[in-house]
Formats: sequence, C-alpha cells, structure tokens
Amino acid sequence: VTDAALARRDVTLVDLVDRLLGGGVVISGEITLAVADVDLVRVSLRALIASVDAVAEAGG
Amino acid sequence: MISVYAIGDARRREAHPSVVECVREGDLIAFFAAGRPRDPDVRELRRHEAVVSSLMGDAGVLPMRFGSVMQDERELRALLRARRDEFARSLARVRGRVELGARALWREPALDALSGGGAFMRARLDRYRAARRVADEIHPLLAELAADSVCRVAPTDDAAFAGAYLVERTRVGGLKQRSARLRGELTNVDLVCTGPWPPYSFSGGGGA
Repeated sequence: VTDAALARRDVTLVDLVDRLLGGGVVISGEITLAVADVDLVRVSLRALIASVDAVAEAGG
Repeated sequence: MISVYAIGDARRREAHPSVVECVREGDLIAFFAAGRPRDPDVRELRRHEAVVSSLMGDAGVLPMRFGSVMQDERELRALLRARRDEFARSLARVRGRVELGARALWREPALDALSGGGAFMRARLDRYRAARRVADEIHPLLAELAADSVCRVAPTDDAAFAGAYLVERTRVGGLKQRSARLRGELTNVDLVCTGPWPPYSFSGGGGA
C-alpha cells in the first residue's frame, strides 16, 4: 500500500466517524441518542484508526 | 425500542434493503430497525453507513445521527407528522445532491507538546495561522462547485482544514478533479477527497 492510498483509507474512516457521530439529523427531546459519551467514542475511534495505520506502516 | 436510520421522500421511493423497515406518513418515509444500535466500533459504523447509502437513491435522504432511538413506530409516525414541513424543506435542499468531504493533512507532524513553553505556544499559533491560509486557499475553490459547504479550520492536530460540500450528482466528478489538481499544487499538505456521502453535514443536525 502506498502512503497516498494509506492516507486516503485513513481519512475515509475519520470522515466516516465524524459524519455518523457528529452529523445527521438530531432532534433533542423527541429522538434519544443511545451512544453514551459520544465525544469520547469519537476520540478513541480516531486514535484506533491512527494506530491501525501505524501498525500497517511498520509491517509494510 | 427502534433505531432510526434516515428520513426520505415517500413519493420517490421504491425498494429498500431488507435489514430495515419503513413507516410512511403523508409524503415522508422513515427507515428503522428493531432494537438498540450496537456499540459504535469501526465495523458497526461501516455497516450502518452502507445501509444509509443504499437508502439514498437519486432523491436523497436525511441521515439520522448514529445511535438515534425512539420508543416505537407510533412515536416515529408522530415525529413525521409534527415536523413534516421542516423535513420536507431539508429534503428539497438535498434532492439530487450528495456530500463530498475534503481534508488537508499536514505533511510535517505538529511540534510535540512536551517540547514545552513559549516555543510550543508560538509554533501552535503559527500552525493555526498556516491552517487558516490553507483553508482560505482551498475551500473557496471547492465551495464554488457546491450548492452549500461547511469549512472547519484545524479540526484536529494533523489536519489544516476539513470541508464538506453539498453537490449535484453531476458535479461530483468535477469537484473530485479539482481536488486532485489542487493536491498536486500544494506542498505543505496532502489534500484528500472522500465520498460521495449521504448529506450528513447538511441535514440540519449539526456539521460533520
């Protein structure tokens, strides 16, 4: 995998996390959000994505 | 308990994937699945996103924030009735359009916070100013191809800016091409374009 391809995959995952957990329709009061501490989840998923790529780089 | 995935235009809707059910109320249709969502790991988010993308069709949908739950179908129908005009306006805005993302990643890593003190604070400020310049340089050139756009400067330590663009389907190729051309011209950042996505940043529920 080239650096550019790696970056692209990485960014797509970060964009996915940001959009699903930070975007979309939110209607407080009528719709409940079942994900507890969403900011923490976002940060840890981003860290996970970064570490997965670090592993991939070390191995490739 | 039901998990709500997206809201669409019932008049422009034929089939939908069997993993979700739907309710119709007037001109609106809402897609849901029984039960609470699973914990949001990468695999679950990808699965969820694949479902929403398959619902998008040509007309488009309003994706819900991941983890949106309601008591039952009756409550969901009541929501569609109560917010009919608002949803109809949002659907009209995204009809025939998709979202593209752009992110400019620094080629040089940020100065380590452990290096400490004034030097670190100055480097941080310099980097923010540089991020602002990168955003000013790139974002308008992508935004002019879009019906609407959102720009965030320095959203994370590794990125100068992240943009979201609501574009006509026919202009997806054009925006991607322009992004690729800009990528070749920029030396301090690596510009990556993602999507098409359902309009997560343009559904009236906060930016991506």
